[in-house]
Amino acid sequence: MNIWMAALSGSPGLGGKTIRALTAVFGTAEAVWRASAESIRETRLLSEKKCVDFLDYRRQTDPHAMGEAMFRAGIRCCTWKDESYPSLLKTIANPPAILFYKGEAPLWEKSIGIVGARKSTAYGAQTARRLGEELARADVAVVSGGARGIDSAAHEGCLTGKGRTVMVAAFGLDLVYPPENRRLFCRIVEEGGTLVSEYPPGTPPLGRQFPARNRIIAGMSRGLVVVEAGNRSGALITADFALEEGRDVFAVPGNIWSAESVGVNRLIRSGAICCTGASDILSEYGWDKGKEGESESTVPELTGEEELVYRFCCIGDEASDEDMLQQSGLAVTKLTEALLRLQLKGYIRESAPGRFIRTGKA
Amino acid sequence: MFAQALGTTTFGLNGHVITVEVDINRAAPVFDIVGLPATAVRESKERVRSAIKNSGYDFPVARVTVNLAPADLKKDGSGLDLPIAVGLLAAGGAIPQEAVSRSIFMGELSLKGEIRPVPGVLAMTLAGREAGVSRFFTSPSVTDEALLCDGVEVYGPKDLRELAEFLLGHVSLPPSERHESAQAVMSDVDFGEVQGQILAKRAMEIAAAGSHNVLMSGPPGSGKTMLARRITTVLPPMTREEALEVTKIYSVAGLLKTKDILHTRPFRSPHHTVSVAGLIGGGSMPRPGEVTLAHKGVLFLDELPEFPRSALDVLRQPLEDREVHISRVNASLTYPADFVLIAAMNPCPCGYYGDSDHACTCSDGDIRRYVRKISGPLLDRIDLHVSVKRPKYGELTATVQGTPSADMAKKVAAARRRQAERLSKWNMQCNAQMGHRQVKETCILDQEGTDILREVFEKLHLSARSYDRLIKVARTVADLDGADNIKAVHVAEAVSYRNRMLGRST
Repeated sequence: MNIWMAALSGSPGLGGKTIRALTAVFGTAEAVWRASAESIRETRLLSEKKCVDFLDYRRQTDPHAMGEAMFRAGIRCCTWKDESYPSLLKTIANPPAILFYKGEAPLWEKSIGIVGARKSTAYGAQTARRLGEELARADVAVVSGGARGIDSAAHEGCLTGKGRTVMVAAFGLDLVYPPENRRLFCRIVEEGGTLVSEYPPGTPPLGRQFPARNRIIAGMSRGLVVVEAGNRSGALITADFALEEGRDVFAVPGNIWSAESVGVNRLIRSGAICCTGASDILSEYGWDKGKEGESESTVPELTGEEELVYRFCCIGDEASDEDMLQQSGLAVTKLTEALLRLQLKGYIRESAPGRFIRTGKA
Repeated sequence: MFAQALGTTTFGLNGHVITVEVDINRAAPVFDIVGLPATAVRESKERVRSAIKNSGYDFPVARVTVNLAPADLKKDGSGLDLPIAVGLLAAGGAIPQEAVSRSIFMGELSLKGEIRPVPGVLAMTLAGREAGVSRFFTSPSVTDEALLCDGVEVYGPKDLRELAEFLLGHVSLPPSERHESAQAVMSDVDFGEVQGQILAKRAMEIAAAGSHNVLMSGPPGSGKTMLARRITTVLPPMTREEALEVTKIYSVAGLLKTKDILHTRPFRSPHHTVSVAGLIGGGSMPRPGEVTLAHKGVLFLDELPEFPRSALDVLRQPLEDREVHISRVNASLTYPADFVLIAAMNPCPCGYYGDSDHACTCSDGDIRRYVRKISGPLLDRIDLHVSVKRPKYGELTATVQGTPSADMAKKVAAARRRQAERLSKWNMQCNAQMGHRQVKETCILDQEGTDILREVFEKLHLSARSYDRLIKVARTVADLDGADNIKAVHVAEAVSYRNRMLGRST
């Protein structure tokens, strides 16, 4: 673990580009840290103000203490020269000089990013969860941003599919944001996934760091799926980064009337690959070989009433229990029993109180 | 010259017999009342003086001392005017002492001498009867209320003069007779008027059957209030003891509007600006609050998250113990508070979360904050969580009547009978009162029910705390079904009423 590099990355005003240039001049990060003020000024890589900031920061920081704190928090790091640095990420225009990570090393063969609106609809969350799960089953790592809504659903889906999921944070890994995702982040680490950040521990989640984080999500993924995005969603920024780096952009079509789908439908109109399931992504990269044998849909074994209720719960549009009751003519007890049994078998899910949606299983 | 007469006052919900002693001495004219009189009693001096004069008697020009015994009990209210006046007349020799003994006088006096009604006459009469008195004098407008108590003789003279003449034997006054109201007042609302809302109505039926607390959540205009108002129409009628108890509470609180015993169960819906003291009772002499006024009936809290957190937190004790203990400097009282809590709320601040026709404009955080206003311990005491949907146009205009209250009431009554029979050895009436032990002993699941319950707990991640609640509701559903053992269908329905609110799982 390169504590000197970790310490360098924490300096205000030093980006990946500058750090790489400085280490090219001095040889190693440790040499940069120990270099005299004059020799740093002589490189002319830093403006006077940045130089003063850096020297101030260097005086106040003890790289060994920082390394100790990281060790205790279970945070490790790798530089762009290390084996464990994700190879895909090295190819982008401005890769981070150092990556902090928690959990498994960020190395995998196949990876797909899933991004979308924080304020997701039941349809969007359901789709993200499903895609995450299917990609996990196909041994593809799912990269996302750990935000509310689509991001969380994608991570959860991937964990359900027993796959590797990568959360790219816009803050130091000793923090949790949003706070309600504490449990999710713990699960990701426990179940073989990785939390990644270019920011050293202790960095708060500031607004400007999120677009920068989006470039890492795009950079770490072979392709990027936008599940649900409103008119000015941050997911569209991620899609732009992906296009700039030459990654494929997939978009899941949304309801044309829904404000949450305006952005994603515009992506399709401007040429993104329309994605209606994990198979669309897998076939694009030829990752679906050898999986053909499995029949996609098995007819679920349901009783007459369960079948009837199951038909009411269309995928994408929720059905309310009151509507089902009135349209099917079933007795309350019959309906509630059928709904519960379908939930227990995993065919439907209660997306909001009294509203049911198919899970897409079978 | 000394005389005494009996009066009454109320303390909490109970009446207390007060001995009014009057002594007239030859000394400078002073009128003193001793024995912890509150302001209203102290002021009775002036009313009594004028009333006696204006009734054509002489007010003694001497030192008058009135003592109210027992002297350590704080006496409140204007009901002691009449016994003080009668005592004075007796002490002055206008009426013989024998004529006023073994009688209780309850009433306020006007300056002209008319006898006015006071609140709490029923409680006072009951206390008097217990003390062995059987003759009561009160205002003619509340004789019916006093007569709700059996085995007493009640007279309603219209003024002090008539009372005195009667006591002297100069005029005859027949004892009042009860004017039975023609019949129990028919409720003006009915569940038949609620179109659609089958699930919500079903939940109300279960709540009424097992006396379970309910939380309804739904968009504005979905009929939450309409449903809540109708639950009293399906609750079983009160027994005579219950009715008497409730009437007594209303009488003491001065809220008794009819002369008759209350037949319908109370329905209280305090506004969300209610104070803690207004909700559970309070004041320097603690008065009954909304929870006590809802005794044996329904307490409806609309817009639950808008209630101050402090007010909701004090509800926990009455929900658990079915009574409230209020301690103040002057008194420490226990009021009954055995009610069914029906609460209603919007699912989110804008009201449209989960609605199919309106987009919800709240963020996840907004909804979480809104829902968190209700404390977990309060939610733990709510057995049924129902989401109410907005009815469609077709349902509103449908000519088909929904299930009328009478049909639902029949099922509820049958279910209640089963419960009372089963729980009689623990002195309980309904499933909601069951503790862990009763649940263990009386709620037997059949094999299929046990299986589905285990699966539910594993797959839907229910907490251990929700276990008893779920079983109790399942027990009530089974009772409505007339089943001895809890079957899978009953468990399934109970599970659908669990708490599924965002950020507050079970």
